Amino acid sequence: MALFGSGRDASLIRHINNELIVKIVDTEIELYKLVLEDTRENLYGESDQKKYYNPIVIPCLIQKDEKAIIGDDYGMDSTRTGIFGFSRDYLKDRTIIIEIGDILNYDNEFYEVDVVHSGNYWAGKNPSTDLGFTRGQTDEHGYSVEVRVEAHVTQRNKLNLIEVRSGGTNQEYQLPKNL
Amino acid sequence: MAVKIPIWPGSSSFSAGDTPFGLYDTDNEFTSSADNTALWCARKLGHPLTDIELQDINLYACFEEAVTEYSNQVNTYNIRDNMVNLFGASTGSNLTQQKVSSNLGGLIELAEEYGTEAGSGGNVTYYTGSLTVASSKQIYDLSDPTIVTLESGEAGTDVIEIKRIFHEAPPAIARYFDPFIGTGLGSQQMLDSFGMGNYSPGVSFMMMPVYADVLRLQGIEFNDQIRKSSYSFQILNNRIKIFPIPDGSSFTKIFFEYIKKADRSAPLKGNTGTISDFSNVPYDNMLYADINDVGRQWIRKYALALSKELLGYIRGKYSGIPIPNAEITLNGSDLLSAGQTEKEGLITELKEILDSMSRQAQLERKQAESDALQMQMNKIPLKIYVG
Repeated sequence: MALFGSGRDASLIRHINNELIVKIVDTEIELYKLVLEDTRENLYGESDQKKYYNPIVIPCLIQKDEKAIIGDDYGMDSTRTGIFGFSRDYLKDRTIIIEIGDILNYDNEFYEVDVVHSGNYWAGKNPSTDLGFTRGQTDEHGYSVEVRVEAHVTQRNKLNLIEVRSGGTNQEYQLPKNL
Repeated sequence: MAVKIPIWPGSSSFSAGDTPFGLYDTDNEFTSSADNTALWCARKLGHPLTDIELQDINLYACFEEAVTEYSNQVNTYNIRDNMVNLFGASTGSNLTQQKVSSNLGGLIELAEEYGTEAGSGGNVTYYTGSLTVASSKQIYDLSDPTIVTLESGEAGTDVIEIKRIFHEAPPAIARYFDPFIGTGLGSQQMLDSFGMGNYSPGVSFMMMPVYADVLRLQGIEFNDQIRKSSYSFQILNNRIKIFPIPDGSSFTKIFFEYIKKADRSAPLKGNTGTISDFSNVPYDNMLYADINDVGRQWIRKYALALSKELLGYIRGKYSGIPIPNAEITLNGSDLLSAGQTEKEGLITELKEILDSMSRQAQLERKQAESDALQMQMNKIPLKIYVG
């Protein structure tokens, strides 16, 4: 049985993670999950009418990369990538599963999830899959620290989350017709 | 189910058994102060703005150790300051927070060995023995049990050291005619010639100065030493050589005093079960209730330093703590360093205060005060007498 990385020590790591992410840093994002049942897709499995559940607010640590300008045959565009680190415990306690294609709203930008990682284990063990622990042969060891999400900024007009092409009537310029 | 160890929630409720040793669990002042002290320590460590990875029992343990450390420091000082007064005293009396009266018992006990060698007091028994002498034999073997009789032990078996030999000439006073009885010096005749004989009783005397007697005694002794073969002896190893050579008639035994060397070397002398060293001086842990506010503030500060150190150990067990997409280092080393520095500072401060209150320091301060007062008094103008 491993001497270090016991469940007691993991509890300390858990406390610190929770304190840091939820109480100290406390940067939040909105997670939009796809409603697959209501999203129609075309022949190629693509959809321009995606439907999402109402967003869930989740605290996480964010690494927002610099904006990149892309110029191609269709003109100029910009994008940005970001890495979002979530406490796995936080997600697990609330039964939140982040998957590829989900949308994260942060800093007025919508990121589409490209990759989801969850292989960062403290002391090299994930108690959920540790054979000794799951079989009841050893005590709890290790700690699965994070769910790390890599995502890129996507164009909001194709998400159908907010209205981006509408303009309100500007009363200032509504001149009387008889003038 | 993952292990979740609760940490300090922001309040606590002390109950007996919450401290490791339970030294003060029956001390109402301690039990009622434990929660406040724990709260104070936690807040000084940053709670509730930050979590404190300690539990109430950790903070109670620090509090208990702080009280014990305070007792230990004060008692250590008391033992050191009073040790000379406590040597040989009963271990049964609890001296904690008691005034110890000064006495010379310890000093005299330290000097008893010298008394033993000087033959005045001491803690080694002087026994009496005798040597049977024979006519015309000058040298004797003191380890020969056939001629040496010992009060305790046996010659040749027990190692003895002769302290005194009673082999001396008869005292001069025995050969000195008492002037008070009116004979020898012709003093009565002198009184008669002065016409004062009729005023004296049957046994008349004349008062003479004592030095006249002393001089006369010295004269007799010098006469014996210089003109006669004086009574003396010489001891080398176990052999004794006697002067003058015994003739078998004037004396047949020589008496002496001796000690057994084993008695002198015996490590245990006097009563057992008495205070012998630092370890059995009966000082106990003080009750928190009996410690004044000055001491309690020191205890609180020390408890905080201990808490800091403990939290430092906890936060520093692993150098890096993984967090999502990064790793952080906690302030374990800072806390540890700060806690240890504060502890050392508090201990040093307390020791300096205690040292400044030793008997010696108090006497020196009194002396300085007296000198200063004297100098001040000297500056007061003297009155001029106007008649």
